[in-house]
Amino acid sequence: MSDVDARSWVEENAGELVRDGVPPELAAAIAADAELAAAARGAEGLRGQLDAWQAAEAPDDLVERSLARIALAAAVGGPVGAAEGPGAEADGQPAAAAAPAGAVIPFPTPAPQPRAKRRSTVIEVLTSAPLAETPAEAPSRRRLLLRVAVQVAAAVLLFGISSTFVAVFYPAVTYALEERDVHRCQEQLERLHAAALRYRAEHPEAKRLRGPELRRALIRGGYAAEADFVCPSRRGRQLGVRSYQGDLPAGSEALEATRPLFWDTFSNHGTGFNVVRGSGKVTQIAVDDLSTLWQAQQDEGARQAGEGVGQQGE
Amino acid sequence: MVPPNPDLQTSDPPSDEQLLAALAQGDSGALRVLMQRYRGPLFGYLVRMLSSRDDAEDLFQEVWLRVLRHASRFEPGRRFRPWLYTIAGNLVRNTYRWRSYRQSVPLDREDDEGQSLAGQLQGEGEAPSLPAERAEAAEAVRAAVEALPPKGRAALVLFYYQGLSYEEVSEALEIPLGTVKSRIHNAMKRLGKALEPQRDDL
Repeated sequence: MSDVDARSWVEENAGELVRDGVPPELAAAIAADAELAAAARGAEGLRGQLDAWQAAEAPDDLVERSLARIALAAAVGGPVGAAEGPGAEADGQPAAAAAPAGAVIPFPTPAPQPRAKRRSTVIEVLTSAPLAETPAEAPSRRRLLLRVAVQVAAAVLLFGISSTFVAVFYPAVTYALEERDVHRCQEQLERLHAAALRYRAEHPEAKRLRGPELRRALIRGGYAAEADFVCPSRRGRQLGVRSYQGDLPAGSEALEATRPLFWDTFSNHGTGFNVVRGSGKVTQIAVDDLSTLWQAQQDEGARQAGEGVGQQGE
Repeated sequence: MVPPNPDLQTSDPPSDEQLLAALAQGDSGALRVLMQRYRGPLFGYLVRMLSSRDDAEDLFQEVWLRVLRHASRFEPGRRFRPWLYTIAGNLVRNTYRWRSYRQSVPLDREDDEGQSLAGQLQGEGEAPSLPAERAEAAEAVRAAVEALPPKGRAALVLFYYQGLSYEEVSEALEIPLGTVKSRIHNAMKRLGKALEPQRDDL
């Protein structure tokens, strides 16, 4: 066998090299290569070390005791092999009927229990369970199921408590947050009102400005900031979203105290609309009262139109 | 009582697979033969994996209980020895899990009599009456093997100490052949490094 074969064999079969040594057919090739020979010597040394660890001999009666335990298991839980005996699964018949006759193995009977127990001494009582340390026992299937059931019950209880807390406190929390937003919104409208009045004072020649036109005029002139036009209830929205509508009369026109100057757009608040009027007073109009306001504006428009027609007629 | 299996009445000793088939048919003698046949190897494997005689004895009995329970499910054409070690390996893993679940005791913590758990385990898991020098070498190997990752340790013990072939280890651990080789290779490499100081002393 070539050197290449010997090298690849050593590289792939390090385990066999240590356990079984160099195979005869590769001995010459490995001995001829210094590196492979060193590897073989190392493997031999390691084998010598590993062989030093000898496991203890199995007890002589281990088989008998194991058979007795199996017999005991059969006595306690029925025939050991019958439940899963041959044919029991294949044809779906009951195990007892499917198992061949005499399938129960006659194992040695377990040793008889001592009939009478002598009275325990104080030391034995104190050192016995439950006073002494309880020996470790592997968790039975029943205990594991019980543990899982307790955990599930705890999870359900925790979920129930959490849900109750949410149900009780969520409306109160949302109401408080909404109230805070309304209050901040009203402060913001007051700032816009002040900005509009400054603009109007410095630009008496200005025409009537509304909506985006008014917003741009106030921002470009430095009277208000972009953020002032975003209602606090719209947290996280991009700037530039129009949260307020505005209507500033021309400089030549009188600013009536009751005239709405800025007001909320739809969906800012669930309870109503904030409006700042010409006097600077901020009020909140309930949703139900909107129709009244709209009607008043319509009347005002009609009144102004009537005056215009009258002036033309004169 | 089931009559003796005619397949087993030949001059050659019956194979493991034949014995298991007889066991599946209810021949209790087959179980005894199998247990006697694997008494030393299986017990040695369990002692090496668990470092405890008591646990090894318990698991030895548990392994055969399972063999008996599942004998009828044994697939024809499969080899018995890897199957036996598959069962044993599963039980060993359960024991590892159970040990980690229970409060662990440091190996080097001494008890009231001044003996560490490692010392007790050494006394339990090894053959008695070893010369001091050899006992020291054996303890070094035991510690090095125990320090291996569980997967590598299982592959190494099956291959080296139990004498299984690569294919049988692959069947027993239910992993590909290449993985077996690489695990054994890595385990040997680690052992070589771990035992190097002792080798130099020799």
